[in-house]
Amino acid sequence: MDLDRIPLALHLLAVDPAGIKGLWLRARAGAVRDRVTAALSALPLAQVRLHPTLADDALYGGLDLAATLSLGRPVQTRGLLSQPAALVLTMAERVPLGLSARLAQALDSPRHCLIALDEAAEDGEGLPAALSDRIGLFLDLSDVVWSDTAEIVMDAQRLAAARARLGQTRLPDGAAGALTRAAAELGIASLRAPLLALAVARAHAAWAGRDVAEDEDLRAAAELVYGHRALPLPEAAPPQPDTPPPDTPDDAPQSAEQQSDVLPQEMLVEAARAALPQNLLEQLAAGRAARAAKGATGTGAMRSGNRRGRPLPSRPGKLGSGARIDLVATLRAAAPWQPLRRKAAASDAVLLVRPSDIRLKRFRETSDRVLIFAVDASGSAAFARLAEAKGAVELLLAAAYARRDHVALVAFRGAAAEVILPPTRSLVQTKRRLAGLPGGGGTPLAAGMQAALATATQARARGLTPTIALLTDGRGNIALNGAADRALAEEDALRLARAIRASGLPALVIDTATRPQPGLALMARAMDAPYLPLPRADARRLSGVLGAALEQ
Amino acid sequence: MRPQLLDRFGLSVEVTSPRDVETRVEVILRRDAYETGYDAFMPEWQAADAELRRRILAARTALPVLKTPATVLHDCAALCIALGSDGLRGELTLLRAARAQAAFDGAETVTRAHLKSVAQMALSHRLRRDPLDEAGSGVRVARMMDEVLP
Repeated sequence: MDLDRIPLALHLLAVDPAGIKGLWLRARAGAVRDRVTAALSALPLAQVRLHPTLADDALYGGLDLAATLSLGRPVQTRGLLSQPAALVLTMAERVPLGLSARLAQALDSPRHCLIALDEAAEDGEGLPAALSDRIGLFLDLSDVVWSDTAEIVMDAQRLAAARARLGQTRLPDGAAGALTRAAAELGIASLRAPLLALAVARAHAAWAGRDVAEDEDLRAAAELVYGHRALPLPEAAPPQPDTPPPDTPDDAPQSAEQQSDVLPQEMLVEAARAALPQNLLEQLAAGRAARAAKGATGTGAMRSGNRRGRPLPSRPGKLGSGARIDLVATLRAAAPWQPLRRKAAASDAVLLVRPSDIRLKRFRETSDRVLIFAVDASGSAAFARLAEAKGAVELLLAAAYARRDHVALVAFRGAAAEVILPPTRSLVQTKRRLAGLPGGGGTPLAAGMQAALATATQARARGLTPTIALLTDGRGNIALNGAADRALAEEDALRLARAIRASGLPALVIDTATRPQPGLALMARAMDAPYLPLPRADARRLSGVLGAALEQ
Repeated sequence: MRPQLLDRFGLSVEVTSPRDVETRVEVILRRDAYETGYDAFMPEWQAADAELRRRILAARTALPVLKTPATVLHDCAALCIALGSDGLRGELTLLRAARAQAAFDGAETVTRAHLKSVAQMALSHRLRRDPLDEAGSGVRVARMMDEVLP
């Protein structure tokens, strides 16, 4: 990554924190990150540190129950959001959806800015989309070595001048249009991105001491704001050649100076594309898939636990934020002190409860997972890799058994699909059924997906958390109605792929063909599922990949 | 959302980001003008806002004296039966929405055109979900409307 971008981004943020809305900082905790966060002291806002388990009363303020109880009159607390602040969110990759929605709401008013310290270690982890969409800037420090960095010196005087200038900084007439079109060309659906880019361009111009923004400001804004949001460009999908980022000032058309207010859009697109790190596209794809799978429907693994939580010992805590009080334990904790307290308070109350007595109930709510294998047992698959696929499923079964996961098995061959085994925990039974699974016949891919989807939906209604693993060679040739019509079969499979995506189920497509099938990759994309071609993998690798996908 | 809850909501609309570049540019321009030049933005749009308010207030006073012919009631029922929506809330909402639309348009009588203009938002969330119908329920309502109410 271009190291010059780090101080630039920080300075721009310090010029207009409320307009740019913040910085998404992906980095492990460490010296490099500390260098960047130290520079945040130049922000013109007070810093407030947040953590992912923050409760509502801390954010918004409210009745301080503990103080109220001990003083005997209502005591209000002030929330962290009551003052304009630079909110520094640590461990941002673990923010629950509720908190991220509240923070998003706070960001929508032009008072706060959010510094999200995202320590995501793996693909698919990361800041919730509600927040990353609202935050203007992004820096990825994961590949930055400490020895390459220098201490970031913030130029306080120049910042103050830029802030004073910001009010009268204007953009040329075509700027909004050019930036919006550039965003559209990069496949950025959100309309917040162009707005943030405008704010960044303004801050950049003010920082450079200009009253009217120029090409350079817009280009810098596009790079900073669009770089991490851009979707893979259709023609740039294969791994990009190792072109170094262009030396921007030199090869930019100098003719488009101050005379032309309308900017060429092509140039803006180029700039953002060059700033993309090499593997960002893959990361993006993985992240989107996991996010859609995890949170989009609101039927998360946490909430729909089928056991309603195993009770854990209650423990001291503060009331509020939805915690349930354990009355018996609270009374038991208060009981020994009653004579003493009555004496101290000179009161004859029956019961004197102090905040320290309060005990809260705790539950551990886990939802059982169910792995639904949809195995292609058609003739073509049997010829190629059915044995390998079976071996892989067996390996996964062992892992599932160790984790007490449920397993279901759907096979499709001939004219229809069959649920060979509804969700079960019986390892022996599953192995026996799997071993007895014959191969041969056509490939009713759509029917197999439909059966898997139905099984998953049923399992989810019962409080399980389903994951679909589709093992096929992708040559679907039997349509849903049983007709041997390849075109119709493909259309049906694609429709079902979209239905699976719409249902928000996590899924994984494993291509068991001898050669990777581009059609299957397309279908996996429609399903929003990771696609995994296995040219010649042994069964152990397959299970490793699936295990990793499930961990997300 | 569960159907028993969904049924109790009167209207439903689907909102997506605009796909058309010119619309997007216009959105960005207006929003940016609002954020950076609030004082100049407000007077520019105040007249249009006031006109809208006047129309809504006029519609509210006109609503009680609005005539609803029996044919419109028949149309409501026919459309809801054809779409197979459970319960009678569909008809009731459809009728109320059509009345509101008519009042807003300044008409004296509710007509089939008013009914048709609100049918999608009043009914699309009351249909049974079909996971395989990609077209979405809005399109199904439009299709059925063309058949039942030519």
